[in-house]
Amino acid sequence: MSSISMSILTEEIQETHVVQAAEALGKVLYNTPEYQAFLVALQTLNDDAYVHRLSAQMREHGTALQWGQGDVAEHQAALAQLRQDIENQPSVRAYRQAEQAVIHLCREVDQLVSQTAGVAFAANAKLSSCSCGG
Amino acid sequence: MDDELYAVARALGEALRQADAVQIYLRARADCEADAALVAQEAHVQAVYEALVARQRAGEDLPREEVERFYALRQRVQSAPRIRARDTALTDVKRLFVEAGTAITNQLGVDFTEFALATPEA
Repeated sequence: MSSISMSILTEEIQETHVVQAAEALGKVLYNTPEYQAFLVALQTLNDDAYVHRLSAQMREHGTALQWGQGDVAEHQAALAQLRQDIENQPSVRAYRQAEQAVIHLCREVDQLVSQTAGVAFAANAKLSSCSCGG
Repeated sequence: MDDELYAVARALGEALRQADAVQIYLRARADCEADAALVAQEAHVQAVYEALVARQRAGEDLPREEVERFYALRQRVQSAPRIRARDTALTDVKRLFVEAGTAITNQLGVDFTEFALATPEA
């Protein structure tokens, strides 16, 4: 076997090992109490009809602003009020709290992976949102 | 963080560290860091960049020649062989890290990197 194909093979083995380790981490993270609480909070939020209604009202004001209909200041005041009302709903508060717990946990995990690898993990694992190929 | 999570996070970190792409990058990064002149040049590019951004944010319309001078300076510094080697190596690291991040995200159902890079509320 040539040294080039040996090197490609080594690279593939290393990649498989990395992906398997990442999958194992994802599975354990998924089963943590923090992540399970987040999923419950997310489902509760998705099922909250009142929050859906408030969100629909926000969209209506947004559309009116976009099309230049009605009074700009009134729409903006209504939007600010609705935003505040949404954030004050118990399902939204519970979701925000659960989200923060998962953020803390993921940051801790990222810190440990980065420290062990010797290179910042999440910052370099982020998919580029740019379509320029960069 | 519980013991199981700690163990799998460490295992991923070790698998990444052992990968050739990371080893090559770490050596290339160390080569750059060992070169005091390169470190100073990169710091200078960063300082010029930050100063330009600050002026632009303050509402100043930056003169075209000044912006072009900055691009030329950055290009000159980035074309140094050691910096080019480090940046090329980092591209391979990112490809591997994206695969790992995607594997975690696929298990979770939400983007792991979004959570890991989010700023926690005070």
